This record gives sequence, C-alpha cells and structure tokens, in this order.
Amino acid sequence: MVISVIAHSASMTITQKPHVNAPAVVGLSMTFTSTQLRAGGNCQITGAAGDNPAGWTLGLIQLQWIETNWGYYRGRANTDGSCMLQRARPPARPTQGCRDTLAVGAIFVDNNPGLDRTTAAAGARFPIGMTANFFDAPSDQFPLTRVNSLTRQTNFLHEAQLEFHFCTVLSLRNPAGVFQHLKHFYWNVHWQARFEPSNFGNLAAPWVITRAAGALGNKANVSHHVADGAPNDRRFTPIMTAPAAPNCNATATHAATAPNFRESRVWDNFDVRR
Amino acid sequence: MGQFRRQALVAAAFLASGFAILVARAQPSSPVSVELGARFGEFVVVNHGSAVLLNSTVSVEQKAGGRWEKALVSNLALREACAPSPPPKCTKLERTASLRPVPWTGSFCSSQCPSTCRLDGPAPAGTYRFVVTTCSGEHSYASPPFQKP
Repeated sequence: MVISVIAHSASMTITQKPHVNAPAVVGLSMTFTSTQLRAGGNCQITGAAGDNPAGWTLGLIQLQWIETNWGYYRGRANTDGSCMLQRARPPARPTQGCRDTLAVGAIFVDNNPGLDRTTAAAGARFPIGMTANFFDAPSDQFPLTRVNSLTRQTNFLHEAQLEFHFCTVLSLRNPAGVFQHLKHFYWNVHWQARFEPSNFGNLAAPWVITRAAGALGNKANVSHHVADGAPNDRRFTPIMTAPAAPNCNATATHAATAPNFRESRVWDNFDVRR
Repeated sequence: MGQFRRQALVAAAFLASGFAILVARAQPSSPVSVELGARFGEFVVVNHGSAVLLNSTVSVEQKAGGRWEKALVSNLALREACAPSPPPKCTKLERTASLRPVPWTGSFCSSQCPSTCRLDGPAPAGTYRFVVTTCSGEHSYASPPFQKP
C-alpha cells in the first residue's frame, strides 16, 4: 500500500471573509488596503506498516490570475495636462498570472510560519492528521502626484482602479515533489474611486474620495463554496507548481516602480484597457 | 638637568600614548551601531566613525533553534519618511551622524510604508533583530535582539 489521502478526509473552510477599506491618504500615497481573508485546510494520510511518511507536506498554493491596476492623473487646469499609469499590461507586467509567496520561487504559501503547512515526520503513526492555515490582506498604493513631462506641471491622482483575483489551493506534496491538489476556492478584492485634493497646495489636507463603479467597484468577494480537486482554468494552472512561475509581490512591485505611462498636454481620455 | 627633561618628555609621551589608547578603547568596537527605540519596531542607526555608505535595505532576522535566520520581510529601508518612490540602493551616513528610519510595522510586506503587496501578513511572535549592511556588503551591523509579541 502506498501512502495516500484518506477518502473524504480533506476539507477547506473560509473562516474570515475579507473587506476592502476605503482608499485613504497616507503620507504622499493613496493607499488601497483590505482586511484579512482567513482559511484553514486539513486532511489525513494513511499507509501500510513500514511506509515512511517523512516529507509528505500539506500546504497552500495561491495563484493570482487577474490584475487590473491603473491610475489616472490630471493637473489642476486643463493646460496642466493628464497622465495614465498602467501597471497591469506589458512591459510593466509581462504576464497576468503569478504565484503568491514571500520567497521568490517558493511554491507553498509562506507567510504564516509554523502554521501554513504540516510536514509528516519519519516514524509518525498512520493515520496522520495534517493542517494548513492561511491568511492574506493584499494592498497597494499610488503616488498622490506625478509631474507631467509634456507640461512640466504637477498632475494629481484623479481616478484609480485595482482588482486582484486569486485562486487558493489546498495541496499535498509527496517527498518526490508530486502535488495532489485537494480543494480550492476563488476570491478577489476590488477598488475604484475618484480623487480630488481639497487644497492643491497642501496635499496633507483632506482629499475628496468618491468610490465609483457601484456595488462591485469596492468590494471583496469569495466564492460561495470550496471546490474539490484542482482548478482547471488554463490561464493559471500551468504556473501552479512550475519552478519559474512569476512571483506576485515581485511582479506587482516592479510594475508599480516602472509602470507604463501615457501623457497628454490637456485633460485627455485614455483607454484603460491598454 | 637635560637628562631629567628628556626623561620627563618620554614619560609625558608615554602617558599621552596611554591616554590615546584609553580613548580608543572608550570608542564603540563597531563603527556603526543599530540601537533599538522605546517602542516596538523603532530603531536608530548610529555612525561612530567616518562617513559610511550603507545598503538602504534593512534585513530582519528571527532567532529559531538558537540560530539567526533571515525573515522574509521586504520593503524595510533606511528612510526617515515614506515616499512613493523607492529609496536609493545606498544611503550615506555622515561622520557621527545617526538615522532614525520609519519603524517596522511587524508585517512581512507592508513593513514600513504603503507598499505593493499581494501576499502579506504579520510576522509571527518571536525574537528578532535588525541587520544593516554596508553598501559593499563587506560589513554587517545587528541590533540587540527584541521580542515581537
């Protein structure tokens, strides 16, 4: 008998749904923060006498498969111009899909040391109960201002939209590195708002922040049920365990540091899909 | 008389050199020290010697099993205020100057200033220390250990 998961022993529960906070000014940035999503998974493995369970690991894999991330800036007057910062398209963001770990190249989520996985020890007696606990609270920021190189005038953050969509997978890895995906669920966080400084000469003065795009524009969503097995969406399944999958924090940080930008000498309309 | 004067000069020189040694010994053994502030996450980098170029990235290490291991904390830097643009790779600390960075929040990714984080969360409770490195990577300076509740 080989070591295997006991039938119907795997479960995954979302214990806390996330919420998105209203965008807020912190220093010279407009911040987009959320409260934690929390989830827990478990399973039991069994084997025959003499089977060695050492190295069998239950953990979580999180993939991000959609990113919307743009900011529109405009000057105080029409002749001060406008800018569009796009962080979700190449070259700023080469691909939409990425794997979400702190350590670049890691596969299992690693932000809850000691609790985010269970690794069976040699000699442990079957059946072996394994748990993996998860939390996450994505966030981002846009600078409040940007100098328009065409007009050389300060442009102010006027609107932004951010959407991060994730799939979180409970997965069992054997010592040979083969994964068995047991459960998964989807979740996302959305922000969209318009901004206006109340005092263009003093950015620390309160900003007028108007949330936009209706009920779905500023919301966190979690799938209604946890699904069995592996996700089958080809947009991100190829990177689930691929060693060279892009890292989400690194990819997003690069795009925030070096966004694609378009500028105009007037208050222009930009296509946010580009 | 002349011999006495010469002996007195030698004695004075000896005393002076001894004083110099004492002064040198009174100096901190490390040219740079990382001192902890009163509240969690606060720290100060003090330069006791000549101007030094430090790597702007501050590492956080956690004590695990009696050894110091690098914690997966990112975005912590030698910056005294938050700015939308990332800090330069290196920060110059002038002779005998000190720098009081924005404190560590205790989180892995949003560790200091508003950041771009897809995976984040608080680092677990434990014993930690800050580590600052020269820009060349040649020397590292660690803070005293502190507890994260």
